[in-house]
Amino acid sequence: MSGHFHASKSEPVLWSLFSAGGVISALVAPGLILVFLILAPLGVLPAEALSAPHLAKLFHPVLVRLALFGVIALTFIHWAHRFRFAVYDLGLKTARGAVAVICYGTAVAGSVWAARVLLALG
Amino acid sequence: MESTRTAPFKLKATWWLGNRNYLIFMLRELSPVFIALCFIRILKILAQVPAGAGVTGQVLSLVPGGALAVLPDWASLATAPAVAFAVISLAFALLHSVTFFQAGAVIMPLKVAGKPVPGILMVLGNLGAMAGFAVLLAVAVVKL
Repeated sequence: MSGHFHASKSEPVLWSLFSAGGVISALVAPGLILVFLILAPLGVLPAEALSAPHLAKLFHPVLVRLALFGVIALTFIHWAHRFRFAVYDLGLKTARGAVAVICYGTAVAGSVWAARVLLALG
Repeated sequence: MESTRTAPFKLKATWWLGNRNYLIFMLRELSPVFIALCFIRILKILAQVPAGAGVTGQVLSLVPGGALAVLPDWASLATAPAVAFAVISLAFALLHSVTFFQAGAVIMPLKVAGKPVPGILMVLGNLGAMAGFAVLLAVAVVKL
């Protein structure tokens, strides 16, 4: 395996996905974290609104699930790309190809899982 | 002629700890880790929805207060460590948002009627869109 992960061909695509993921997570991640991981667990939102039937209704439209999948998959790719270079910045000199494969592989696996979860809401 | 030799460039793994700007840079690099972990937690909650939203759940949802019988496991997210993690993650997410919007204003400057839009206005506009989405999401969860 070469030192870089198909650097010449895949880098522009990866940087584009990184940018898309950065923009979309910058816009929506604080809201999702605030509503689902802070306000909901603390009981600020009505319990009925957080019940399974209500959430199923909320996430039933295909467009909603497609949008959420886009947000999550792009954010995972954004994480992979940034984490990859952060590892390099921390001084990793060898196995750069393996780091890239692990990072992007994890992002793809996470996206597949996200797709399965969101498909099941249909 | 003597050939040129390059000294190996060595940088300590802790190079980013000695300067505030470098520290913020590295924290920003770390921010997607927290955001991704939060999305995994949200997906884990959503993964519980189909089971609870079955026939029993639909019947219960018609009974006043019955929907409470089919709540996903929000309790696991209501513990002090879980909420603390979410608050720290929100701080990282906001750091990501602010720094990304600042970079966007520099990389992709806007012009309106031939005049450049000040970067601070672009950042504030994006932060407004971010806040607007949070409000819309909360309203959608409660009202729809």
